[in-house]
Amino acid sequence: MATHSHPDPQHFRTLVETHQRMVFSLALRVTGEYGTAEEVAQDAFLELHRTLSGPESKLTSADHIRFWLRRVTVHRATDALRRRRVRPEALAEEWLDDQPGSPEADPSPELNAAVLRLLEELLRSLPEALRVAIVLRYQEEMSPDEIATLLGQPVNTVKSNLQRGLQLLRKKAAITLKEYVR
Amino acid sequence: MNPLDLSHDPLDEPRSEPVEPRFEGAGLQPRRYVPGKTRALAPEGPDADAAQIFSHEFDGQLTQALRPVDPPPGFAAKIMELAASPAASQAPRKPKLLVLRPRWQTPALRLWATGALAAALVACLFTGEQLHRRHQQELADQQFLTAVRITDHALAVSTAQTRAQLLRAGINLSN
Repeated sequence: MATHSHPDPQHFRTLVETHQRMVFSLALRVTGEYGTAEEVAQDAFLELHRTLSGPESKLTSADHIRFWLRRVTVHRATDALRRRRVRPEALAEEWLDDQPGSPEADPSPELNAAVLRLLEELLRSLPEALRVAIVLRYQEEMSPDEIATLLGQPVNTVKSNLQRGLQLLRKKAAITLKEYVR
Repeated sequence: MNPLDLSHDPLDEPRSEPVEPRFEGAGLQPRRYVPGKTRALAPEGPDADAAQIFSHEFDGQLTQALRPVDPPPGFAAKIMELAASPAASQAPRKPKLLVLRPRWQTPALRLWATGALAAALVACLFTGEQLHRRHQQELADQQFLTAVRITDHALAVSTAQTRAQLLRAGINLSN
């Protein structure tokens, strides 16, 4: 029977505090739900704790731990998304209906904030693969090669997903904004 | 630049601040976003502020929109508390998956169904073979009867001609 040794609590706390923003944001952008994102982030860190407690933990460097956390978070978040079986398109429509206020009444700085919020919300309407690629690219500032390694996909697939995602996002943003200012 | 040319893709470049707009010339559908086209989509006049989404700043705006957010307060403490509990070192038990199969998919019935299917297949093959053989036999019978009929006719004609010739020569074979 394998024996488990707990990792140094202080070290683990440092890891959690260092990566919690990244892990939670990643989970939030992929799942689109605050509560689910919290659960996913929690699961990812507990999984990290279990892995570090393992007899042959291969997570030695900080870069490796960050890579590992990103991958586990993305996988857990996409799993959570699939379990909910929510159509992202429907989510986006709901959000657009419920959007408080309109840019017409907003002054310019607030309009900018509204645009940023709109972009973030429109991201939820993208298909899962495109959304994950864009989040990793623009939130985590990863290169297509790094994304491909993380997701275990060919680089061309990642590039294609990025291009299609951006194209779709721009198109949706253009249409939505045009309707707002009408 | 050919948008499909992936040999040089600015997406490959490392991202760093300040974020430069990369849509134009980045191989990301530049034809779709030429200024004339975006102006046609973007609102005009007093709503020009809203048109910023269509500008070159889209890339930067996306980065801004996707900046990391803080987790809920007390998140780290909660993780530490959960990690300290004895259950944390054990892998979460996956819920046992209850597989519901239709009745006909149970192993015994599947065996029977396979056997019945095999028997039906053998019966079909046997019947087919028999039908084919019978058909060939009927065809052969018909050919034989046709051949007999043709031979009879030829013999009758030949006999009549011979008798006629003999009669002309003064020989009468008839009784």
